[in-house]
Amino acid sequence: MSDSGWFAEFYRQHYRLVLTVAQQRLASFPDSEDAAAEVFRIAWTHYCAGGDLTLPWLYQTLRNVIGNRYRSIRRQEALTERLTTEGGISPAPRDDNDDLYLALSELKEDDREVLAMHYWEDLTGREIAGILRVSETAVRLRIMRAKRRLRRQLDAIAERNVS
Amino acid sequence: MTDDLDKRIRAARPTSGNRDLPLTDRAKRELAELMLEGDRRQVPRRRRIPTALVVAVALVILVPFGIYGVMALVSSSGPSSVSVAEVAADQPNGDQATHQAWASLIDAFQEQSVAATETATDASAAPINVNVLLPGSAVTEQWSFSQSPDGVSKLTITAPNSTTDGPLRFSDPAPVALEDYPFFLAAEDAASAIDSLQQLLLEQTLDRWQLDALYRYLATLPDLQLTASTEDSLVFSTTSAQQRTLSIAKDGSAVLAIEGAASSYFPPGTQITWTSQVEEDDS
Repeated sequence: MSDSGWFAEFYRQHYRLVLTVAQQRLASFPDSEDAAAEVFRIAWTHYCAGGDLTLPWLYQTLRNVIGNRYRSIRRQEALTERLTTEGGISPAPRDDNDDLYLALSELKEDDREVLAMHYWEDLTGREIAGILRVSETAVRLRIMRAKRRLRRQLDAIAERNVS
Repeated sequence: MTDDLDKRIRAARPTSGNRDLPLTDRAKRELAELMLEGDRRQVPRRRRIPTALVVAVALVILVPFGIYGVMALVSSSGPSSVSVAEVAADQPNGDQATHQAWASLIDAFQEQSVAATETATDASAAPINVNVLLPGSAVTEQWSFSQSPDGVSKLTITAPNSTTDGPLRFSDPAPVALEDYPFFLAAEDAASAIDSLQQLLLEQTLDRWQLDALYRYLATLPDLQLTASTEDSLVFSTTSAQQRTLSIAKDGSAVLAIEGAASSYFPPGTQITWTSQVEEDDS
């Protein structure tokens, strides 16, 4: 297969996964398509320069691209206003106050990430292991522990709601 | 086995497609454009980056890190512990002590990396593993720095005999204010504060509380001013000779870009992981 052909196949194989993850992390579908396009432009440049393309590489690139964009568009306060505010600033409440999202937001980033990968991003255990550079067993353990902490967090939120 | 929590998490999946869907029209068009661009450029012949080059670059980082960095650390009179956060968290201000130690590490390494750039002449592909006994610390940590062929750099710090589970982050528990970071306390001006911020962002993603603290902190810097406003972001610039720009999402949700900051001691994108040597279940 030619170099271009190999890249096209790689693109077809992974584009929807990249778009799916971007959709879950960015505010709108056009934003997500922009992010996916940027990821594959970077991938193409990387590939043409002789770099190898793998799913872990692609996922890390997606993380970086998303990190440079909106992670979420939930808080509407302009930064200028915030910078001039005297005293403390309370975080704006999230639009979606669903207990599960709240509980997830209170978990450590590692826990949130592995849960999202497993439950929402269509990644297999082997793929997650490749991205996180750990064994599949370690992935299962991390998911189990993250779930346990999520459950605790949900219980705590339920208690707070009652009181 | 699927339990109720599994179902609940799956049900909360954010609205999105899935990986099995066909390419969108836009995706097909963009792929075609990339291919066309490749044709115009006659698809550069793929070449592997010479191993020697990768190794040389790695050595520039590894040599100072493995040798000079450790020497500097051992001989420094820095804070008493840089052990993993959950160990330090048992003591008052343990988290802060961890950060102080990290800051002293950065200082030591930054100084030494320049000298090593000039002296590194040999090459070795193997990752450097270093046992680090920090001043005042009872445990020896193993530091391993490696750079994979795909260019991903990774630093893993392993602390033995940890009773904690899973990977450990040096920000656990997260500080409530950015002022808690000695980086920022030590910053004499906005430029050095932004340099420190870049280091911090290399290490971790700021959560919303930390972002709030960051914004409060930035508001106290007299030599930082708002210089531009785009559709998506606000751009702040230093007024001093050391030019830095900081781009922040207009809704305050993220630091989008930092420009002009002093070069990092790790390659951009380095994955830094703190782990315990023995993973134990926390049940």
